[in-house]
Amino acid sequence: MTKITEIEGKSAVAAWSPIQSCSDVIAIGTKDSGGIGFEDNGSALDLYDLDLSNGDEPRLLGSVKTEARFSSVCWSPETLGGKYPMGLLTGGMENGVIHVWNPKAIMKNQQSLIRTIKGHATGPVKALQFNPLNLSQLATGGSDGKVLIVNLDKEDEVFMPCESTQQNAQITAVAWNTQVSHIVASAAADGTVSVWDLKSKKSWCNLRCESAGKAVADLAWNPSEGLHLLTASADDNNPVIKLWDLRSSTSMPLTTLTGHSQGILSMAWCPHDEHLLLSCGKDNRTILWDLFTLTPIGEVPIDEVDHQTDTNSNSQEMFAAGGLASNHQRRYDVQWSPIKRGVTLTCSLDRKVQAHSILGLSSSSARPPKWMRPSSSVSFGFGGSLVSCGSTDRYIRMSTVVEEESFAKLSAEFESVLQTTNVAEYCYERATKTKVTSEAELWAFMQIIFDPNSRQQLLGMLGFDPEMIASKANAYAEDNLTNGIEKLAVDDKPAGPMTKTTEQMVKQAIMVGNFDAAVECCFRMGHAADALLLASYGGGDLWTKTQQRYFEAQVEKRNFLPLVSAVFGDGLADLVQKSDPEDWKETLAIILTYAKTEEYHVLCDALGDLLEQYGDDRHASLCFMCSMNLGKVGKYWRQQLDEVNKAKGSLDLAALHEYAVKVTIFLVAVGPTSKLCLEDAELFSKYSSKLAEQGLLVSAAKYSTPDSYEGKVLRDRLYRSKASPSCLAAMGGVAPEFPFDMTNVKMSRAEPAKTTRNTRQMRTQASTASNYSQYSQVSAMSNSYAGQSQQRSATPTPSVTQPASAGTLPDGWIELQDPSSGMMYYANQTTGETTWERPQPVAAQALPPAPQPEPQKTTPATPSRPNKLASKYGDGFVTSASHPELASQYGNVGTSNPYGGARAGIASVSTVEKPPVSGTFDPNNIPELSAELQPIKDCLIGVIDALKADPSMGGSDKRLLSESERGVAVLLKRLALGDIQPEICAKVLQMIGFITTYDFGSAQSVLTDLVSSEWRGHKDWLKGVKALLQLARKIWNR
Amino acid sequence: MTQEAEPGRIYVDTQHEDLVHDAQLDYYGCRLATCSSDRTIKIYNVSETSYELSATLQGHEGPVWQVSWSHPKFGVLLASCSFDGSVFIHREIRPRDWSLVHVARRIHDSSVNSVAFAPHEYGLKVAAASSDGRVSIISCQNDDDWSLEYIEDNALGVNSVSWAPSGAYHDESNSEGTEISRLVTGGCDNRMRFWKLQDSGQWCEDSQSQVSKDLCHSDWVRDVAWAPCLVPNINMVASCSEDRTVLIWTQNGRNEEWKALLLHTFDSPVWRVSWSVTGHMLAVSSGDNDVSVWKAGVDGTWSQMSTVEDTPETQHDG
Repeated sequence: MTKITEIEGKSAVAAWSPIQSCSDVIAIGTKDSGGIGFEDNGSALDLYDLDLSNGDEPRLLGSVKTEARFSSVCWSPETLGGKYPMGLLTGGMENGVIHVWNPKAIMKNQQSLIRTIKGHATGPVKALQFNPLNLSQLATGGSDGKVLIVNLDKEDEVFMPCESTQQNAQITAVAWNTQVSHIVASAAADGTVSVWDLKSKKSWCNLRCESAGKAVADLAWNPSEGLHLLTASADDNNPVIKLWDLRSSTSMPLTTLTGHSQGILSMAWCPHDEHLLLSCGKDNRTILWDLFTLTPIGEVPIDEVDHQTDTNSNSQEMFAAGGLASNHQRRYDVQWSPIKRGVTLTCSLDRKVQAHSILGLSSSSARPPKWMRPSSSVSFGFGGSLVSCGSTDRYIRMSTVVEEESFAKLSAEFESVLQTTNVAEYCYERATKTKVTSEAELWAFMQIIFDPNSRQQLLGMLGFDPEMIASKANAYAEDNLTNGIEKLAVDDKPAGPMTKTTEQMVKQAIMVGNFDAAVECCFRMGHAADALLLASYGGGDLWTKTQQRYFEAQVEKRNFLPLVSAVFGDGLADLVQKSDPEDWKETLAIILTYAKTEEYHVLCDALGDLLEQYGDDRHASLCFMCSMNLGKVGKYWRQQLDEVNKAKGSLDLAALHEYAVKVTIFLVAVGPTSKLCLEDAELFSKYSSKLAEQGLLVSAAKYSTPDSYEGKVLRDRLYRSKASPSCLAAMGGVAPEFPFDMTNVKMSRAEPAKTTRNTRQMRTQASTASNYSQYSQVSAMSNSYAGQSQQRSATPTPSVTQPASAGTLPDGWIELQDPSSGMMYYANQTTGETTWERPQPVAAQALPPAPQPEPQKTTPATPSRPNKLASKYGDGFVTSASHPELASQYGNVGTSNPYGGARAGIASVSTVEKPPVSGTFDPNNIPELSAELQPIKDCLIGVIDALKADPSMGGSDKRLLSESERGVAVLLKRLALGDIQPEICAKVLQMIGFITTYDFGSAQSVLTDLVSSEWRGHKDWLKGVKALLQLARKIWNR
Repeated sequence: MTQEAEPGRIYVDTQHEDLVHDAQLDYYGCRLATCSSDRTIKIYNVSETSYELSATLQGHEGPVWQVSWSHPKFGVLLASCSFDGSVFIHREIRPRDWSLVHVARRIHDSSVNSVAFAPHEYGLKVAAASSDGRVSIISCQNDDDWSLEYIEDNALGVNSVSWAPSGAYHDESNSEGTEISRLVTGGCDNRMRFWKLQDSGQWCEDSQSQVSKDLCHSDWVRDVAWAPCLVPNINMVASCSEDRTVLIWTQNGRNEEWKALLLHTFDSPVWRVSWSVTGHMLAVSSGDNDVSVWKAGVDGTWSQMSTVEDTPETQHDG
């Protein structure tokens, strides 16, 4: 309870603004002018902004003078069609008049009074309230004992709830029902409360709350339940708050709240949590009540009043409220902010208007206010895992969110291809399916490099199929034969026939063996063919020289000659260097045909380099593919990826995938030993992390690389993830190092305590996954030891040391040194457990300890203070035990009373007439039913058991089943308590009859009937039975 | 208990005896911690298709609102906060065997609503936000002592606290590379506040960067979440509120103004927001059980990816 802010020097009544956007604004109607003048009876209506958030001083927004003093003030959000954007503000004055203002106009300092209603006799109008379900409707109660209803949307509509509305004393409070718009209650100083029904224009009921002459100080309806009414007694001798349940009795309250020691002055039921009530009394206490436990759980602190100001406050209410008997702050008005949760406003005799927050309320025995309980939660985990929980059940939902579905799909498809299909086939498929030439080319190349006869294949791919060429050449030759070889011969041999002289010269030279001269002669005369023929006899030197000369001379006429030259002259490297990049295909074909195995890769690389220089990266990459040069081919693919990314402005996952696919396939061709270059490794790391984000952990592990810190972190994370074994396999079976420096956190010196309630009744867990995760969690603690621990713990390594001083370890434990930190740790050779702490012989060997009985449960009951004691349990839902009626009204059975049978200990603490109806299904503790109701129990439990055993039950079905169990448990308990009317029992029996004959359709219609007529009082079990029936139909009708 | 479920989705029956308030996966995603109004915390081992209860932790004297896992370099540590005003730090010393390494009992006068381990680069620290209006920072010192500091936030109470990730701010001039720890809080004053640790070792409100008032919450801020850092000095924070909205706050550069974008107005109050590990997606839970996942497009607009379906039993209800 912390004071947020206060306004001093105001003896006043106050009201919160109900306008959402002005939730910090209050209206204060003063009970005096604050002056000391004798003549001045007037007062003021002030609007203040309390500015709760910033903690600044309250700020006066506007003020209007009144001729009379305020007795009450009330604010409605009704705008009357937008005319009054800040709603309507009314004040009940001491002279019996009611004013209505426009608060907006007050702030703007304009004419603000809208209406004045004069229906009451002179005397303070202390009771004033707007109808929460009809915001323009106002109820007022005057000193004349009259209750008036004013419809502010209609000019002069002021009427009494019925003809004889008169109560015989001053009306102290009016309150509209929160659920039914035509019900209003009024409290009077004579100790009575009347509940009026405006529709039938009569009194709905009358309560005698106090003995005659003792006033009912205040009253309030339950904010969320229609028939619960609280009345507060002003009687100093019996200052209690009574809770009435008008359904059950109008003569006896359901329960009373005792705590005040003198008459109560005001009270307010919390609109945001119907379990909280605030009341203030003449005992100078302002108490916060928990209506569950019916106990005070907090108190608004009071200021010490200094006597100086005390004497100044001459309000007559002071006497009504008990006078100046004490020097403590006395509050006479309390209320909750209608908008701000847990914020209260109080007015006190020491002329203070204060706002407090109960949010800071601390009490371990109390339940948290409703608004503190989170209704749902969601959280992301590694690999796109999402976990969420809600307030509808106790289940956690775990799922995987795939951010990039198309990317994930691509990856999944590719991985399955790798699993099932031949890589070359995949390449072929890609090559034939794509419409982009460059891609087709790439994939065709990719396919061919897998072929053992790849060079031959590549030639074909380049358009140089040897067989085809041979047949073409043949065809061509034949063609020419038939069409006249002569012409061709002439064309081809421009040099004329050899002259006689030349012939002679050559002949002579040959005769003397001077082939040099003969060749020279032939060349000079343009007879290259003769020269070549002669040179072939003239020895190696001449032959080479002549060839060269021939090529030089003829190259212009025959463009195939450089090629022949290169092939003959071992000059392929030179040829590649000099080749025309445009004709790269031919050059490549030559390499493919003539290159020796040892120079093949070099030549392809050289051609690739040449093309790269020329700017033809695409074809260069093909050459690099031929040369199996992963580094260089990767470079081109990276470039492609970069271009796509640049065009997109962000990482294009499809392109990244495409890149990874190419490199991966290529790696298969090159062989797994080849290492990725740094850039490729980085991209693979990125690819891997993107896969991990989609929840594709195993694939991510496959592509992860340990080259960077990020890569190491990711590998560690994958290795210890929920898919640990598969990830480990995908990483080649070598566990990654723990990438962080381990920090060993020791026990805090203060308050060491064990918290585990050891749940060693481990359910059978056949899956190795969980064993593995256990193992991996162990290794998480033992740093880089990970991955080797299995071997190590099986065969102690030389690093095992046994310090003699430390005493003996329990069986199975050995001491080891952590290689990275040098610290000693302990491993259990049999279980694989490791720990930093030295296991103690007993502790380490301890058998699963018997579940410790919870100390609370064994606490002996203290009969004198049952509530207090009981409130230690659970969240203080003790009313379920001590006030079963309240429990069933206020607690919704599902959540408020979760302990059921397990908390039987509580029941013994207090007197129980009617045990709580809990939804806990305990097969060993099924209540006994009378003979005629026995079939209900037998049938329903039989159905549940049968469903439980049914193998076709899915996860969702199981949840439905647990809902059913809860419902059936409640039904059986309520039947046992006799809490279910005979006619409903009959219906249930009828339904049971149908169920036993598997006639679920008829059973359903009986149930539907019940649901539509009895839902309100029986939803706690109808819901579950409905679920059961639904489940039974689903399981057995299919 | 092992429970088979439809692929990709597991329903964990927590066996808590009252409402479950929080569920968090550890760094590796193979353990799940849940906490409940039944005052206990449960730890589950999770595999791809099944789960198994590993331990139940007790000790809190009120509902346990939130749990937070530490980075694995500190071992297996879990922080929890409770309505009882306490923050506990639990450690699994050997499988299934948990101890309390630190008990900060009643360090707050009122409910502790949120707890979060700091990024491991900042050391072993926990921030906790309380209804008493303060945020506490619990730090493990070198000598295994724990220190406690308070930040005075706002009188109405603090609902949530979230740490800035390491690397969120890059200062060229700071060659040391030591980073200033920062926090964001959300509270009952409908506001978010940014805090930073000064060189003096004192926390102060980050006054250098303004928070735009063009768009703000009109009711309690229930949760705040600082996004994982994608680009240094470009920071994002998601906030959600009782006013049914989620706002995405972006700061484009150090000391720039935080500007808000309305993600969506939901049907009921929004309780939690959570960023995916890489910061591309935001999960939002509103009402009793409505979970939706949102993703930012290249152009900065957000779109809803999917709604995590509710359980069949509530679908058939009424």
